[in-house]
Amino acid sequence: MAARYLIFEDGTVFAGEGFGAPAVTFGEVVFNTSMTGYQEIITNQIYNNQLLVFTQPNIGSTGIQRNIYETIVPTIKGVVVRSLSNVATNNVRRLTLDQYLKQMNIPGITNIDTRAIVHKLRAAGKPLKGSIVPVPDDHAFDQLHATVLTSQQVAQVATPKPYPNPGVGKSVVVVDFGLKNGVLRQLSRRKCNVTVLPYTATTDEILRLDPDGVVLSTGPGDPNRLNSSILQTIREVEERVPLFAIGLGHELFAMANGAQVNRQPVEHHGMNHPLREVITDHIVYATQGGGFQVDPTTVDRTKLFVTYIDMLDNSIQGLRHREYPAFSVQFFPDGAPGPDETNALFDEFIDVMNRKEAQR
Amino acid sequence: MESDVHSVLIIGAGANDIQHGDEVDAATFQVATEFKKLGIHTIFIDDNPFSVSLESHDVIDHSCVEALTVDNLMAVINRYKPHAILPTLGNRRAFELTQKLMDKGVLREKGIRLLGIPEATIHQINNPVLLSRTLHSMDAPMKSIATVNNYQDALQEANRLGYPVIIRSVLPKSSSTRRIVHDRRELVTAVQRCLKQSRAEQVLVQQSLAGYKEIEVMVQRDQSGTMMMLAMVEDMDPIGIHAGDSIAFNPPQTLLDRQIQDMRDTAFAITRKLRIVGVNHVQFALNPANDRFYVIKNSPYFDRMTSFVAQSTGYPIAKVCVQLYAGKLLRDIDLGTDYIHHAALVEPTMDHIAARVPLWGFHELPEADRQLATEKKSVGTAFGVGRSPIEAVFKAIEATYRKSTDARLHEQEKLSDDELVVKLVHPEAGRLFTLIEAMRRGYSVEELTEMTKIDPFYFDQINRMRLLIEDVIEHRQKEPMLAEAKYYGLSNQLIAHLWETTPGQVYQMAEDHQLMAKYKEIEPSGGEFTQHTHSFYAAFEDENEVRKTAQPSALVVGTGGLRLGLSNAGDYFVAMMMRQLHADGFHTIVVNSNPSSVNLSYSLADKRYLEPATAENILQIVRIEQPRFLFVPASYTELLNALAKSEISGRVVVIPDTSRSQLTCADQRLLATNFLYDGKYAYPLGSTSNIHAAHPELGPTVVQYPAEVDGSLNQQLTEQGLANVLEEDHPGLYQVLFEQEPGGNYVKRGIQEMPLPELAFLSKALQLDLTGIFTRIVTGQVNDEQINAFLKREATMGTALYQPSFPFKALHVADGVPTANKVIGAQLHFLK
Repeated sequence: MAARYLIFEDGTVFAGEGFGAPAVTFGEVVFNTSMTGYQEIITNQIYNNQLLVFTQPNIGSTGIQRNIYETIVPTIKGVVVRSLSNVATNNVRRLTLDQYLKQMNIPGITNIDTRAIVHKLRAAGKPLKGSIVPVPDDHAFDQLHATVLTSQQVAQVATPKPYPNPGVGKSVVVVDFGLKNGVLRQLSRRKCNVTVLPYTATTDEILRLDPDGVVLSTGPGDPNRLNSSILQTIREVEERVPLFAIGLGHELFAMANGAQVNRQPVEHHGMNHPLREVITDHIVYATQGGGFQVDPTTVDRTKLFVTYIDMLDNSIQGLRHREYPAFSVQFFPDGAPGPDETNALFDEFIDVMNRKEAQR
Repeated sequence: MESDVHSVLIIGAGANDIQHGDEVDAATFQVATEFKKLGIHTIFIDDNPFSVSLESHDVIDHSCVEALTVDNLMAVINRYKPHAILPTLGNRRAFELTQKLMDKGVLREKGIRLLGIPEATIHQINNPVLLSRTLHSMDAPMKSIATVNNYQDALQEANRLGYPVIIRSVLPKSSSTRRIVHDRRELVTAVQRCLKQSRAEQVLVQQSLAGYKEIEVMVQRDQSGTMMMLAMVEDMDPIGIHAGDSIAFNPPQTLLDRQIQDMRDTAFAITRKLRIVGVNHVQFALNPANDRFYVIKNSPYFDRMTSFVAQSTGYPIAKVCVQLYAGKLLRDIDLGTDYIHHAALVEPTMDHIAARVPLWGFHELPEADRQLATEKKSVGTAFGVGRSPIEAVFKAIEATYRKSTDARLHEQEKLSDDELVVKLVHPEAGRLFTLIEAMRRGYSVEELTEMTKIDPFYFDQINRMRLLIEDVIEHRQKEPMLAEAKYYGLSNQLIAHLWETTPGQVYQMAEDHQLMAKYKEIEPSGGEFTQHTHSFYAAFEDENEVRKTAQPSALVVGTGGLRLGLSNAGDYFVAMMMRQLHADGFHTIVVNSNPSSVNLSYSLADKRYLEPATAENILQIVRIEQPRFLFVPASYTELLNALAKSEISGRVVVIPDTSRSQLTCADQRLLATNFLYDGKYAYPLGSTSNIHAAHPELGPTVVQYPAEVDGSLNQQLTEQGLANVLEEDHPGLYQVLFEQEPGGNYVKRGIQEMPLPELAFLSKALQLDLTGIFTRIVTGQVNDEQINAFLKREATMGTALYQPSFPFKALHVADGVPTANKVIGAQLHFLK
């Protein structure tokens, strides 16, 4: 492996060894504290524009599996690890993490003091731009400083065209902001007849399919940067059909109903925070990932109420509409990777659709 | 709920044996410490002379040295009238004893509550049939078992399950009827034989899980039903080799998320069903071919997994569990200023890897069969913490083997190909080195996986270890090579062997190139939060998190994992020393790589370095900490030599862990006069003898205090001994040995430092903290007057017996000859 360097916009350099693609990319550096599921994490589109530091030190030991991709063409900007294992476990063609990242044109760097980076990012208190480069010279830093990260993240990762995922159960429209396959997996397990629509889908385009329910998917980036027509669409849809929003979808659902969404100083990606379900007072664990949160001071004046709270930072992790059968969660109830405890939210969504149908 | 329990009876685990070391004593010590903080009185019954808890009267309110029997428990209950019983600190036996108390109606009659485990669950854990019925009823995956009474039905079952299957007799006439059957031909004979062996003329056809991955899950539950997973640990060796004999990794290395989540869900479901409050350890067999897994064991009590998980994650399990036992909820637990708010609810995540390796007793018991199977053979455990699997394993090996890694590898090189294959298929203790050798000889990963059922990932790692060693040999004295070797956890000892130089020279080279270790904190949030466990491990990376401990400080090197002969007396001594150092205002720093050790307890150690106690580690730690005193076991000769050669500021005090008990297992009648020597005066502590002649029924192994000898003779021998002790050049605890000649006269045999097992015994027999006073003498914290006052005893406990036990039965050693160096544990007994 060749020497490579992880450089930060503040001038810091970490020396390591390169793996994956020799490409030079730029992005915000964030860390993830999960101990399982690197393949699912790397293929999650929320990491578009980001270089991800794994705090779990050893990555790659289960190779690449055919059935756990969260997207087929990941757009993560880079993978930073302490220790890389090159193991292939698949049946037909041997594929290691290193080879996979090469195929996907994603750079990686190993032998990095990842714990030091976590401390650095927390101390910075704001997202830091970084890059994996072959030489940490002035040129590399100039390029890093000159880089303006795209605000068109959703446009980059969401499907441009509708496609079906047929089933024999409830008809569900999934609006794709950078969909995580886990959502489709959960709906498919419940036999739903799914149509995935681009995030630009209008109210008309959604309702034309006469869905039993609509899912707003997860996705990357800042919801405030998206066209506000999406919020109007959400308002129109939630009045008419049951709605389940996740991640970025949850943030948009909150905004559509009058709340504000802010960037966190340090992004949280992991699966070990206790989340309290307000109505039952139960504590559950779920995968969390992202840099944005609904501002709790702005929820009171909306028709939303809080359903889940992160007990460590008191952040809002779930919302529900007071009048419409519409609810949302900030975390990933599909797991993949992560605890299954909140999978039941998909059952709840099915129930809501059944009830709505019974009312007709 | 919280208010009605003011006193708890803790059932101890008794003498150390193959199944448990000091993890239970360590857990008891921590649990009792926390009960104390909650204002709950503790009553503790145990007869282990090496127990620290039993002697910690500031932690345990009432220590009862009694054998663990129902009658003794009843007597203790009648005397102290506890409000509750805690059965989770005494292994399976505490569950069996608790059930007997329940069956007698004692708990109901006296209104005694059980903490942690409901009564119904005690029954379930004690009765595998009941438990499997419960697990079946909740659809927990269990291995299939069918009872048949003829060959045709057996064949049908075997076809349904797929070979191999296990055939066993129902109600067997002899004990060994279990057979693994690989095909139809083998089935015929096995079924015939087992039918004949069965009193009921029935056989069990059972699915074989051999070769599956063994996964251990540690979950925790509070009484409101909140559950969390504390850790999942993966054994490198498959089912078929006892989990305690396998190299184990926390976190698991080869599991997919969906496998982890499914096992987590099942562990939660079982824990909920059994209404366990506190920790539950669930073991699974996972078939990697199809993701199917089976529950194989459920242990809702403190065991070696609990201590391994607590030490390797930094999650304070004992501290949290006590509050759960006291009725608190996880959400209400405050872990203090070292942790964030609600830290008890944060599932631990690790940014390091811990590898646990077994320690064997084959050096002392060469006649024991080294082949590994479903019965545990290891006697102790050590672990290594690193930032890569390789680093963790290299460190763990360093902490385990007295013999260097390259010597172990050379042994394997001598094997013929046939011998090697036999060892691959029928693994023996120390199999890691066999696997390295197999890779050296060019076996492919596929072949090895087929033969060993070990996941290919581990062969990738093993091969990298091998290549690294070869690289080191090829690049002698090269600085970049040294940097790489240190990065992957190779010790200076190993590098020195490979370079045919000395560890000191390698250390010098590392120093010259600024290749010194930095230290990272073991902290359960993976760096997400600022929390402090004060547990550190070495890493050759960018950041250093360790700060010098407040002064005055004392650095204590632990005696490592349990080993035969010493048993846990070394840990006992070190822990008692640390207690005293604390009491005298020292900040205590411990270096230890035994996750089960009591001296890693939070209240004993202000700071922990979880590193092998090698010269390089100790010298670097001394440089950071500048301790006033360094306590080093005598058995660490290389370390002591290195310390003697280096300029260090603190004073080195030797812990006498090499002194062997002469009284135990002697053929002759022996008597020892025991002394405390402060460098000026020698204070007699009384005499001990073996009771060869007096109690032949107890066997030749037992030591007695006071010695069976008349007063004037005792006086005479004591005076003789005293003169000897005064000639010693350093203070300490000594014994002068006398041998009785056939005529009845006693002849002096010599003087030695008091062996730690006998010291532990004598402390309890005399009810004097001998370790404490020793510590105060060597640190200059005490004067003559205070020593005299210390030695004035209030009451005598009468005659005390020390009865060691040996692992002959557990290791299937027929006609084992008991000798002092084979002792695995002991019982303490007061004659009334």
